[in-house]
Amino acid sequence: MSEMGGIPSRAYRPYTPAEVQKIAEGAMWVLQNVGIQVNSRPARELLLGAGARAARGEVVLIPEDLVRWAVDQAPSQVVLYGREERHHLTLAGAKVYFGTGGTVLYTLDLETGERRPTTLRDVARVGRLVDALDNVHFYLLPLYPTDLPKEKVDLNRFYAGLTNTTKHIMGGIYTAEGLQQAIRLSETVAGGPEALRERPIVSFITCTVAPLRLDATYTDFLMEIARRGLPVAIPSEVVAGVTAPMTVAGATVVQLAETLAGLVVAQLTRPGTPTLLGTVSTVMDPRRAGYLAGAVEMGLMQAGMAQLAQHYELPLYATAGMSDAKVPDAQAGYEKALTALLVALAGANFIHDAAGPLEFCTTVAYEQYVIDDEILGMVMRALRGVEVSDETLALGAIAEVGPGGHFLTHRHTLNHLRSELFTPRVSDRELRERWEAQGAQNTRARARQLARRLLSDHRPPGLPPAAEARVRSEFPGIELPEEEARP
Amino acid sequence: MTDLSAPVQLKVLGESQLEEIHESAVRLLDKVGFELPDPQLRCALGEHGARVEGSRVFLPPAAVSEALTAAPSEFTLWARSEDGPHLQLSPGRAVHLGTGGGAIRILDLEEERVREPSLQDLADLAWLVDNLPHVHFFLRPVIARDVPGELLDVNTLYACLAGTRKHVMVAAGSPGAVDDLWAVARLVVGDEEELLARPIFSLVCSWMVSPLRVDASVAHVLRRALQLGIPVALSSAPVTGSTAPATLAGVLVQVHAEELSGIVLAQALRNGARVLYGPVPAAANFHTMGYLGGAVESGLLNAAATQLAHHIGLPVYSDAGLTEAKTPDIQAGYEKATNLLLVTLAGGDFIHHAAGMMDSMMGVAPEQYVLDNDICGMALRARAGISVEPETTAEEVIARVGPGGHFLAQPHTLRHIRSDEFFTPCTADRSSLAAWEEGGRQGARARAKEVAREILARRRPGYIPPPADKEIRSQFDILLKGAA
Repeated sequence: MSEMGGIPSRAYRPYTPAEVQKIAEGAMWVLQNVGIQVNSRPARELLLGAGARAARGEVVLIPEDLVRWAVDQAPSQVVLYGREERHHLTLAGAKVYFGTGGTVLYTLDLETGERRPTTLRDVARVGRLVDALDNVHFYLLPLYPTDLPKEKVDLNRFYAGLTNTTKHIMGGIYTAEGLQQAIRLSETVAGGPEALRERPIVSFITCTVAPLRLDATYTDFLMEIARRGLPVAIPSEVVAGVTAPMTVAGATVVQLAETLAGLVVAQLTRPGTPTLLGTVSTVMDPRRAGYLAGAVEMGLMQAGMAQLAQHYELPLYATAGMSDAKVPDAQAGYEKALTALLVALAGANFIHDAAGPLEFCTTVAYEQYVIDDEILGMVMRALRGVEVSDETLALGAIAEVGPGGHFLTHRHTLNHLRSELFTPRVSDRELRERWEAQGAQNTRARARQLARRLLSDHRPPGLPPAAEARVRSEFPGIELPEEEARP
Repeated sequence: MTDLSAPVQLKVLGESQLEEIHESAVRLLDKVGFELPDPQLRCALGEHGARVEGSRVFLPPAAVSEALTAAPSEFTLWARSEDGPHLQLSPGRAVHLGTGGGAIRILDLEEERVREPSLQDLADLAWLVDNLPHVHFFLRPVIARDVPGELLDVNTLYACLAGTRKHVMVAAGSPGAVDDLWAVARLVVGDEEELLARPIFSLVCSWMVSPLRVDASVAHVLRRALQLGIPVALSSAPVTGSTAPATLAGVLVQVHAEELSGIVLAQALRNGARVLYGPVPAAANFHTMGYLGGAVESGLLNAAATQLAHHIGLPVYSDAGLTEAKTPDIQAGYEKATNLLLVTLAGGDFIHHAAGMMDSMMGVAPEQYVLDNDICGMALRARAGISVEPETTAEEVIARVGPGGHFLAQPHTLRHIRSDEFFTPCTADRSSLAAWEEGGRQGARARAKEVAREILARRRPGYIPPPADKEIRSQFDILLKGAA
């Protein structure tokens, strides 16, 4: 069987409770004494008006009680809605969901295998593929359509997402006008501004800039999203050794300070704004001084951040399931599985970038989405753990079968076989002889076949016809061909 | 440099669940018992508090707890190199990862084909593992198909000892073979007392046929090993829905009962015998009802079984790193990583199958050992956790750099860049796309093959001292050419 999203886990605890406290105190100390550079003037004024102190060069020192106030204002549970009820995500506590992510400019072509720039059509088609993958719980718009001018990107990305999957859509934003269009589009689909606020089928991301900076553009977006009452994730993107201390704990202090600063701005703008603390942070490769996507230390850092978010009782936008490998090879397999499992076992709520990406999250592959769906299904099965009850302990069945017998035909077996085991779709479980007779395909080849089949057979429900008609008439800037919006 | 001494413990089962499973298993041994088709062994158990009815043996709870008291909770399996790695087994204290299996196929390193492994392959794999830092012991991974059955056990141990100084584990086909293995190891070590005090090899005994039936002939191998004082892993491998219940909890109850029965038997045969609790539970394949080592449920079962062993205070021989994949592809990567991480985080003391396995335990590949060495290293790094102290939380450095600065040139960065905090992979590609393309667009498997070739081409030191080698060859028909 496939696994449900939202299974909670606190099985992996990289920090002791005392260590959580130390990291939290470190971040508070940094906010209060080192401060955050806030390049957005309205945000700066808002902070200073609420008791923050100005320091040199647009740096703002944020007192601890203001941070505590913001933590109290922010809801501990954020529900991100899908267009179908089964896709709602209840982000709270240690519940775990997985989805896509990235700002990816390249894809490995499904037919040629060659790397090529991503287009709007890819945004739609990857959305459709994700709609068919049970263990990918949300569609965080992962691709940048290189065939569009920047001012058309936001509207078209959200449109391509909303029409191709009924799962929740989250996205980054590229222009202020684009943000307005994406919100208006979503309101039209949801049935008005109130309906969208009540049941947000879309949400947004506004990043901080490491170390310790809230830049003007993103922060203005953040304030606008908060004013509209829509959910927003505020990820910090530190790279330990480059934009934060080399140590995992030190980098965590910086990223926590940054995302909390964003939280304060969001809550000051509109108390109660549904906000996700966020992290895309990782460690650097000592040789290139560059970003690493598949390092185990990234998994540790992300898992630790889940504990901190649980400490504040706020939902977390986290990152795992990526790889530094350039192609879907053994390295991609182990780096993705290891980091996804670590971060999920710690109970990170909204784990993005977990399906599709390769090469430091700068390329995706259609077949990689299919393979990652399998990895994520295995991870969710691990989170489900071992159910212990009189029925599952099976003492009666063991006694009835007796020493030397077998369980194959016992009714206890028939009752439980399917529910206990995760059913894979691309993993090979044949005997070697049969595998060879079937063409000795490796996993990538099988995944490509499955991706092709899902893309041609899967028909997600498009927008309701009335909504689709309104959208098409109100937004002449939509570029997606009609057949890609109503597949 | 940083304190990573307090490992992180993954808990698949809570304390009350562990207790419930343990109590159920104890009840099972008392009420249902197990089959032991050997009067001599039944008699030995009868003298240690067991109730015997025909071929069925019932163990009252007191017999179980006595055996648990008698079994040592800590002992060391030694490497022959002074600096180890010695396997200091103590429930949940240190994770050791090693090879395993009795594969009958090997992927040829040069040609894209599978073939039968030879004795030379076994010695080569031992040498490969000798050079892989995150693989800590060598359980003979392949069956040398060019060795006649009656010479197999002794030649297997010889090839292992010739290839690596890491701790070696093997199996024995008969009680007589156990004596031969003991003789070979004694000649290598030079002294029986020394071998008893610092065992450089141990045995794995698959004495149990699930569910709950002892294989009498293997039990006699076990008896001989214990008489000689060889440490033994008690391997029992029930599978969901065929040789055990379909539910994971049911498998755990049964395998725990089986392991407890093995410990009682072992302690009855030799009080204080060094034994490893050795559950190897796995999920079953729906279609073939065979073993699914790469299934995530197998990882869950082994993580839970590791907790059960620690619950009763014994070191555990557990299992992770299997895959159903036929080649070292992405499936091999994710199946292995998932289960290796689960069982490593659970604190497995002696995790076998952790490197090299392919093809549902039927095959190995040299390059897979190299790939798995990285996975093992990553899993161990995850277990070590995160250091939190003033030096690592680094508030001072953060203040010095300030908003908008960078940390690259900070002394703090240089101090920590090569520390234990960061795992350095052997084969993972971290280069830029341009550099990767320039390097020939190699996938992980191709890179790992290069590493394997390089290690296999290295000049090998003679790990069996010439006088011992001469003596062993005079006493036994050793088929491995050119001693060490």
